Amino acid sequence: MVSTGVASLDQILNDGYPDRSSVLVLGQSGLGKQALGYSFVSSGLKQGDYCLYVTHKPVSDIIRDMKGFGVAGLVQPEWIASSGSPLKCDLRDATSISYNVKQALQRNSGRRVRVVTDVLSPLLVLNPSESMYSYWSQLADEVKKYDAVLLALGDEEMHTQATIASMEHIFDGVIELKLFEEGLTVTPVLRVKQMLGMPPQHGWFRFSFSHGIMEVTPNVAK
Amino acid sequence: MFGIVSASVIVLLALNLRRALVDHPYRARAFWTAVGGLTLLALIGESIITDLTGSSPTTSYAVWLGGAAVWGLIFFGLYGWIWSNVAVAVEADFFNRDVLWWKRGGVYIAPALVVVSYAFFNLPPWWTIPQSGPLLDVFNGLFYGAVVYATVALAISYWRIKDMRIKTYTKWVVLSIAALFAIIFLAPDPLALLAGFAWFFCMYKSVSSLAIKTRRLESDSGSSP
Repeated sequence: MVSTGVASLDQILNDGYPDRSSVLVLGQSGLGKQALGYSFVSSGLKQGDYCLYVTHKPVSDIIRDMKGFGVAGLVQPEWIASSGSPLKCDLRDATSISYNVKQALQRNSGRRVRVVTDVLSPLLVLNPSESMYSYWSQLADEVKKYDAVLLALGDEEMHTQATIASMEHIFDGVIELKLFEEGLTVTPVLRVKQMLGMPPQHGWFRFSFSHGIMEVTPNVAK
Repeated sequence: MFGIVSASVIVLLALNLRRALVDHPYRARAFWTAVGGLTLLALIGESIITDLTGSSPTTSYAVWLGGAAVWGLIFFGLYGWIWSNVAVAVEADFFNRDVLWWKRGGVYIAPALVVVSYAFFNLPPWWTIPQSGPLLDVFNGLFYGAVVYATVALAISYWRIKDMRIKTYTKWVVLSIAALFAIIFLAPDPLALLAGFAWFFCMYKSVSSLAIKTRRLESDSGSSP
């Protein structure tokens, strides 16, 4: 298992994400998907794993955001970003993005690899859905050839239910984030919708951030 | 009373969302939306103060301080609300395009203009600079210039955003600002009242589309846990 970087989420997932798996994190913007990605990368860097962050944003934006969550250390992941990195992320050229990811996997085949990406939703919006299903299927299959875990962050509200359902089939695991309205209060909650090697999960868990550290509270949201 | 209740609901909804959201630009947007609601309350408060003191200049320190606080909320609340929305709209653009040099200076210059104009309009009563004539037009121009610039940046971002939820939200924000301008330029014409209702409606729609909330959490089996 590969630690998520969030101790309480590791407990729920029986020690983390499964080895050689691809996990989809779904939720609306602003809810903490990126923070899950940062925790995953930060935990990997501490353990000496090779970490690759694929983003359609500039590196400086992500580092600033990471600092906001208190996870930006001296050691940084390798970047495929819109600017500020040797490897460029051009959303108009999906092929080059997957090529660079595959190259990175090959180059680091002797190590544990963690890949985090926020380009799933933009690519799905900018390209025909069918070609993107095949694209992400190939990438998910590629990850399984190595000691690697791919964490893809997706904006649920940008896509149709059918598109989301198709994407969920491609990934080994799906974590869903939502805002739950109870009376006058609004609470962020998450659930493990599916995860390789785990029985189906039905519970929703509240989560919060305190000083940049994510805390998932087991089994309280109904 | 309708205005006070509406503004209070806006503040409450926005503060609740601010607590729940995680990412900084989205939290900031919820915060400034709450301040926008407070601005509405401040406008109502300002009209009450004007009724109590009349429109003649006053040298009372307490009344000046109260007025400065209310106008502070109006100036900074309105601008901060628009500013935080532009920040989210720019963030939501997949291609990280810089709209109207926003990232390269606009984000700092426009608030500076708001601060300068606020300072002019809220000089202490014993200050001798006359707040009328061409000088008034200049400082009015600075404030409206900053607001119009940010609004146009927001409108351009609206066209660029692919995320339909943020697009919808941004649309209501732009319409709210347009309604606000309609109030300012139509008052005291009775049509300003219509614009006022349009403003409340657009503000309500924007706040309710600030984030998608669910009251029912479905389990995998399709029923509530």
